[in-house]
Amino acid sequence: MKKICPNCKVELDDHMENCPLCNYSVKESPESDAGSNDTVSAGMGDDFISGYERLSTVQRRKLFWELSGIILFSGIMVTLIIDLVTSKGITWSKYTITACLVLFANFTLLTFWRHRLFILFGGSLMFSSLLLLLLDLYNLKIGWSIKLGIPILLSFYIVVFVLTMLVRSAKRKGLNVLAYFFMAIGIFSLCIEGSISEYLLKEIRLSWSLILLVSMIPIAAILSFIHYRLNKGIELNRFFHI
Amino acid sequence: MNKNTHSNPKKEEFWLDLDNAAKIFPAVRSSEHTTVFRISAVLKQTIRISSLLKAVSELEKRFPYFRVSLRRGFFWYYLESAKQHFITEPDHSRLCRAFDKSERNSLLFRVLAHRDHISVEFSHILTDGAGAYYFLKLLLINYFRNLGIKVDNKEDDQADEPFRREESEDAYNRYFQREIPSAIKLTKAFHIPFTLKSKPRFDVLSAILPLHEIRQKAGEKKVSITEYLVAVYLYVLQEIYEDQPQHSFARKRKTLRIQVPVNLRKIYPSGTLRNFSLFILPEMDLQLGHYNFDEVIKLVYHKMQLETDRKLINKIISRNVGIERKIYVRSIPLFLKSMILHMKYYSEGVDQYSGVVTNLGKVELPAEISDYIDYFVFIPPPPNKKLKINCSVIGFNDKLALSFGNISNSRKLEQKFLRFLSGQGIGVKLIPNR
Repeated sequence: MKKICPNCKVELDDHMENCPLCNYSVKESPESDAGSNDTVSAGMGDDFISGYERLSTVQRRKLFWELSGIILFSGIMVTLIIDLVTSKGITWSKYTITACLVLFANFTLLTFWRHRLFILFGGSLMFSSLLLLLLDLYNLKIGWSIKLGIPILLSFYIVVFVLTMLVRSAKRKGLNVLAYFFMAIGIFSLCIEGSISEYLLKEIRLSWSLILLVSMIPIAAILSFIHYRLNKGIELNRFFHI
Repeated sequence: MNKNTHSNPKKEEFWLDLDNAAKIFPAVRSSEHTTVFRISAVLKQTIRISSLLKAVSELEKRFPYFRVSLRRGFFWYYLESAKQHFITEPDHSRLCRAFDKSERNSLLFRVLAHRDHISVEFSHILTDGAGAYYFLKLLLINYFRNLGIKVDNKEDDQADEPFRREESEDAYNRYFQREIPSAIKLTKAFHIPFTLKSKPRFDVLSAILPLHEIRQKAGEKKVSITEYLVAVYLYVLQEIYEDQPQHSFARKRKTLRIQVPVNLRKIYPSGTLRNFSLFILPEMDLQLGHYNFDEVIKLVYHKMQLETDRKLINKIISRNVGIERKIYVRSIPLFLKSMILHMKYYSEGVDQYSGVVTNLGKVELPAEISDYIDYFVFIPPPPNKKLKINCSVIGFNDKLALSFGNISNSRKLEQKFLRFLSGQGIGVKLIPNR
């Protein structure tokens, strides 16, 4: 009996498990029952595939999250015990514990909300700000974290967020991504210098970051031009042939 | 643009100018007006897909100039070798759908398979009906060879190289002659006043006619099948014109004119497989009164005989190629050129004719595989908004397939056309398109 794809109605070879045109699995098809024994035997090679390779992307990501959790919580326990034994209390280990907890929170966001950019970036910003705030607080007074650390962190997250959105929306990724990246560096440097000068001098004074930004603009422009107009492998005589 | 030698399809990386006829298509194509046409071979048996896939991949070396994608230059579009391999797709989507504009490596043709239908869809940017037909012919030969049938294809089998360089040439430029007066501008023609369908608009009605019957009818009038069908089309258009209210806007244009593509390879020796066809425009002027069918036949016959004269064809080539060679045209940036071409296409080109009848002729295949094929269908590209309906024809053995592409809400033209043929004693059988 002939093996026919129920979608395309074309005849398949006996060894074919899926229709090469529409990828329909012929094992699911009642019309192809006659060929089902062959298709099962053709899939015996699957047994040799390791357990890891059989996992879906989501399962793999979850596995990494679990492993990172085990490693980070082990690190927390080890540093805590050493600190308790050597210092008879929680002293330096509070830094590692805080850092590990914030790291784990970020891993969690990346594992479960990686496609929901607002939750990912908002949550990560919140946890990282909390880290800076706690590190500052451990010195018994809140100072640099609110006036310097969090503004720089906020500008970093905004720049990375915009960069991510731009890269995601680009139809074709190549030198344009590099151009966005250079522009992001320029803008972020502006934010850093602005925050530092505001913190130290109580006014926004820009110098080196402006030079950096201005130098980045022509580089980004050339990269964008090459990407959008003179694509990879293109020759000028093709592009400008008259 | 007068040379097309900066390309070498033998090399891995190459690029080609668009041929003279293709230059208009990137400017006017859209998701509805796709400029994509289809030729299908309907087999007597279900397709064996492994043999077809093998046959398609075998053709990659044979047709390197079809393994290209469309790119924008500063002054002109051009074709560049693509990394994308020839692929075969399931035939579930809309007929003659547009090719992706955004994909850098997307090809301008596709092979489709469904049940017993092997189809090719080509963008007119790449080639015309004759080029697509040749591709399909070699595909079928390879397919049946892969099924174990011994097929002689002397022309290709004895060639030293996989393809002749001439196949990728712009033959219009080769036969362009300077100092020939340009063709005269024509009056505006009548357009059928049917309303447009909602999107997606394109729909196709195909019918099979016994070739011997229509040949006999054409023979009785001493004309070719193409001339006979063009005359029927004009006669039907006249009926539609006369059906319109006396003072309606649709009746203002009183010239009925049909665009009939002519394969120039039959007039000029050329092995090109890119576009190489021109149009002749048989017409009738309704200001002179009503025409009976015999009068229409007479008009069409004489007009076709006259306009296929080589000297007159030279004149049209001279006009078309002459324009693209002018330095002020060449130096216009592409975005402006595309806007101008788009406007000209709708304001002048389309205004000159009321319908299109394309006859690809009779398919000739090696005898060993002819018995395995039932018939061929040639589906025209979706017509533009002014034309609304077009018609294409292809013959194989004793079956002539007639297809009407339609983007309007009315089937009146097809009904009248097919009723006329059956009224003449010709058997008409409607067929599915896949």
